[in-house]
Amino acid sequence: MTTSDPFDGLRLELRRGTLTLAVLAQLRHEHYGYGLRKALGDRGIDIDENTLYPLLRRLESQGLLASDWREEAKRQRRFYRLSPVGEDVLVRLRGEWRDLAAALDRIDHHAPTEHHEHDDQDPPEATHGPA
Amino acid sequence: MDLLDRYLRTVRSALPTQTRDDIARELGENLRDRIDDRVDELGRPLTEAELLGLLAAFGHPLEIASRFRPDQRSVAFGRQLIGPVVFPVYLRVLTIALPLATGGALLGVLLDRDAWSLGVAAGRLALPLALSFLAITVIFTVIDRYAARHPMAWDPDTEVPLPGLFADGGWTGGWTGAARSRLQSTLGALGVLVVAVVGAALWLAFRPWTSVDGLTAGPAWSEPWPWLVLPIALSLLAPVVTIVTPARQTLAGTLRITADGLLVVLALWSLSLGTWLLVADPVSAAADQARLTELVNGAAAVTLAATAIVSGWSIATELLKLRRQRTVMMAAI
Repeated sequence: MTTSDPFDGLRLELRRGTLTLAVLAQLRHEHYGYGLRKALGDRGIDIDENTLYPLLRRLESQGLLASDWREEAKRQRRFYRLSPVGEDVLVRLRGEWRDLAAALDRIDHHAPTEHHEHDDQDPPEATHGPA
Repeated sequence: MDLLDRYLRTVRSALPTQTRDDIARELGENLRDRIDDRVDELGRPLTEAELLGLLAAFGHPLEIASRFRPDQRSVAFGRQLIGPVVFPVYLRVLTIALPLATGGALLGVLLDRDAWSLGVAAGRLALPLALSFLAITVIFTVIDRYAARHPMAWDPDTEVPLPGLFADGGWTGGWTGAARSRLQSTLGALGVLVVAVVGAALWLAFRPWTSVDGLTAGPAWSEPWPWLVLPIALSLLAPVVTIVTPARQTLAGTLRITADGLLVVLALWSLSLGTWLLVADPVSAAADQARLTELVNGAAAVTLAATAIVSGWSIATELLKLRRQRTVMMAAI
């Protein structure tokens, strides 16, 4: 029987939504696919091309991106940019992201770690983060 | 750039029809950018092996194209059995096999008066449908498992633009290559198996060795049918050759031509013998029996003529393919 590290699957789940956010954020400035991948890579977000291109198509079909073919450096490229709807969605997603990050921080900073040592003896107590 | 063009053509053939040109063009530009970057790194043009390695790292065309399909459905029963890459093929095979199984079973029921009651007819119809569905689902589950454990590597010598089967254009589009892929051959073998099973079911339903309701099999059926085993066996052998040794396209093509040639011979032989269904006792034959034999014999004659024409056409296209392959091989030498 093979056992795989659960971290890999969870990391993939976590990255899936984050990548969309990163692509939308990066496309506030116009990019073509390959350039976008490089720009994201330079900022620490590695994304596989076979994930990026279908994602771009999907976001465009949802009206979040606009695109057109243009020539650059004697080569035809498809340039993507955020649409007005995409800008609105990005602002809201960033808000969600900040709220989630802040909530995680609160959990981390106020986690009652001392309970772990007494789990066997004491019944768990309810914990409350700051309001 | 021939290798890159072949790769892109193969990806394109498996993409959704409406967006295939645009997506293939964009992927092409992306790959050219990657190649340029690699050339800049090395300070020299890429060798064919390096280009092949770059394309292989990019992914198998079928895998790449599957990510652009809006239909990402899969079959799951507790856990995923058939993933989104294989699912469209599974669906296509089902849409062909299930009506065939239903038609065969229905014909069997119509021709067997013992089955003319709701309970028996429902059972005779449901069983082939359930078995076909189960068998096809099991086969595709195994294919999916195998593909997950042994990821396909793109082989430019045998892989060709895939048929429209994988896109949304049906079976017909894209047969532009001169060679068959392993996947096409597997599907071809499955198709022959389905036809053979349906044929065997019909044969058992007809029971041509007996006289039913005063009707008996004529010489056009009873003499040539044992020889049908030969073209069926060859038709199964040809895809097996392609799957096991993809490079032996000439052998596989020759087997297909022989199978089609035998079908033409059998169809013409059967046509020359004339009668498929006979009234066992012509003196006491009822009028409806005479009409039935006339109808069956007429339909059989049309079917046989069509089989001969289709098989003849198949031989011609196969010969053309073999000739094209030969030309490509000669050019390579």
